[in-house]
Amino acid sequence: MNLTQIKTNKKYIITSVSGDNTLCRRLLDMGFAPGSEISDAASAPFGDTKLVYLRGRLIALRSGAASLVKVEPSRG
Amino acid sequence: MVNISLAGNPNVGKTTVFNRLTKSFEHVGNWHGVTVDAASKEISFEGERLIITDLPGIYSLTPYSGEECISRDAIYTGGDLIVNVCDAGNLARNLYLTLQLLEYGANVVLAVNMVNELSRDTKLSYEKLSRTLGIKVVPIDLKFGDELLTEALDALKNKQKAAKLVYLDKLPLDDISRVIKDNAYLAGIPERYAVVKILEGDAYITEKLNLTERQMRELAKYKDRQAEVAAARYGYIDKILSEVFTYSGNEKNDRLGIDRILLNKYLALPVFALIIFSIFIIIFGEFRFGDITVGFIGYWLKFALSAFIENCIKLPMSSALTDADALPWVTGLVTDGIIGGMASVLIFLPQIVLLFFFLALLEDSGYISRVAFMTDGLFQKIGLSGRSVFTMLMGFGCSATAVLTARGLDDDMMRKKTVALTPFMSCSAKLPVYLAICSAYFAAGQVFVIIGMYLIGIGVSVAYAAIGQRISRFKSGSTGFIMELPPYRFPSGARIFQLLWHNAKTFVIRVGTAVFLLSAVVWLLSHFTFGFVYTGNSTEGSMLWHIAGAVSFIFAPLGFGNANAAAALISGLVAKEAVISTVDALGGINTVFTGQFASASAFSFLVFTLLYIPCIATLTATAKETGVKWMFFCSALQLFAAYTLALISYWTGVLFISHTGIAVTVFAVITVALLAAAAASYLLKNKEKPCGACRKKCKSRKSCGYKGE
Repeated sequence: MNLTQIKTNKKYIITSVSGDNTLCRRLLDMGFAPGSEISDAASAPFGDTKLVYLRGRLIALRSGAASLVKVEPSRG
Repeated sequence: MVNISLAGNPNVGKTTVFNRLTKSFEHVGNWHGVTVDAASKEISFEGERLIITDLPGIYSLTPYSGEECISRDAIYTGGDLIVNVCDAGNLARNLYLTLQLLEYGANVVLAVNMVNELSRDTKLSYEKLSRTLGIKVVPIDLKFGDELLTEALDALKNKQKAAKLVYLDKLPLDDISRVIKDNAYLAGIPERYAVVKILEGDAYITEKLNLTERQMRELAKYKDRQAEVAAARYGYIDKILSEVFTYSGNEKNDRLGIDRILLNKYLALPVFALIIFSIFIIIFGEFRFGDITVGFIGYWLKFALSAFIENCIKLPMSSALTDADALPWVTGLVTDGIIGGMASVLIFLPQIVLLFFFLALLEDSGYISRVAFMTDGLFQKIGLSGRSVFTMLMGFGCSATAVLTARGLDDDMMRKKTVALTPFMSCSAKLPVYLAICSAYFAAGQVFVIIGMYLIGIGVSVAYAAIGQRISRFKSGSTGFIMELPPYRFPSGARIFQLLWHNAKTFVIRVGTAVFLLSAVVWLLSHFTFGFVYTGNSTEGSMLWHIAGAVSFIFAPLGFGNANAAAALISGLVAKEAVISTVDALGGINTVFTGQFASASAFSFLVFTLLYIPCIATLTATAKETGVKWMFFCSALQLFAAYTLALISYWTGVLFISHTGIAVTVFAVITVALLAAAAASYLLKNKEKPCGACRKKCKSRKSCGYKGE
């Protein structure tokens, strides 16, 4: 599954980031590296921009970028 | 002479550190990408001459947008020392850049900023961090002293021994090393660094290495390994941080806090509207109940200042000149022209300073990043992104400086469009015009007319953006919007005082220079004929009367086809405040808007002032950022919007004043028709069906984003 499909109040682990090169690099630099824990924080009023928690920080991203981030539910 | 560069992630306080080290007042704010250009200043410290350079924020040494390249180039081409500024609350992401600086082999001192923001339960061992990385680590907060520069100079004199970056061993470095060894040597790039950048697919370094086709083929299998490199770095960082941080107490459960309300899907926009409306009421609100005027801080400060100017400057000056038997034209020039013109703008000092203050508060608190997030969906529909919000918000202060901040937008068309639309955000220099004309014609409804002006400006820019997105030439590429929301911060008392003082000073200097000169020139032009004969109390026959009179017919359909209005709009091209100072120097507002429909003319004049070509400073900045051709294109859009909307508002006003009944009926019919059309188009639009493939119940195929597992 990818980041657009995550549910609130659950933790996920990033498994891979792949697709459009520039966008991927941006994501990786921002900390969306494989192995990182991530969870859902909020959704914007219109459109498909969402807010996620990553390493204690809030990051907003559109579904175009979010769909490049593959995740799996965290077992921890 | 020593060169020290301040580098680091966006919004970690580099510019604040720079301002403190060099006693400067570069613009800062609590959002990403405030600084778009490098700023340098020379200082002396313990007998050394130091050049401190503040660089735009970067996340990595492989940048995306123009201003990030400035930072990369500055780091590559030298500087004796890099002070890597970090946010103590976000070390994980910050160290990602630090590791890259160390990979490159730069001489780095780590300045861990905002240590005061760490919670009391969190302990961070700076010695351990310093030992692990092999570089100096200096904890600082807003009030740091000499320790940063002392440590920096020490790091320059005694070479630091950077630690071995063990995580790199996991990557297939040796295999690539063999291939590019000689190229790296020739290009002057540290070998190990070049290897890592090849794995990351960095175009800049690859080009520098000047590889042959054979080498390229050999390296092909190492492409697309950037995720692996990032995972290695972050894995190492997570390990370091688990060693240097010790937590006592429980993890906070409610991590969202006030954002639970401010970013709520349904409450976010109403709360935003409420905040903006409150700010407007505080600055401009004045309500009359019979003889009593109720106002807020902005109103009372203006009241006091205008009494002061009238009684302590204007009256004594004019009686002194009369007593001294000065020539009548000298008295006129000084009291009506210069003092009158400057005073007409200066009395709005408190309100303009307040406006800048609230803008800074929105920026400093971190709320503006939330606004960018909550409006991103709307902006996306019209081909802009939430990132454009920063630039447009700055436009409410000053368009000329705001257009520079558009550099942070990575899509070129989006950047150009943002620059084009920013002048429609009513800038602070237009406020004196609104306030002066409103208090003469719309006294009680002043605050609503002013809000209306802002909304018209926003409406025009949204309309233009929406139209642009439908024309393929002006369509923006779909860029991914990825933005970090900073934590809320509240400015200190000192910072608030500094903001108020700095903005008041800037405004007074503007009035003392541009407005002063224009007032004098306009008064002289309007009271002397081409043969330099004084025209006395009337402006008839003067140079300006002839020049402006010749073009004033253009404005006749808009309700202000007279020489004074034309002259005011022309001088407004130099500085927008001059629109009102010119009107004042030419005999006051009452000479510009006359007759039965004076208030309709006044309103149409306000609309025209809001939308027409911005000041020369903004035009220059637009040309510099986007090219001369684009600047002329923008000007054409501005003139078109200004003329059309002023025309519509004037005749609507006239209809309202003369035939209120008809006007109300026409509006009711139009409103109902529009609502019906909107409802019909909503009903007729094909409702999207769920995609049917994903496990969760999505609403539409387009928004689902499901691409199979």
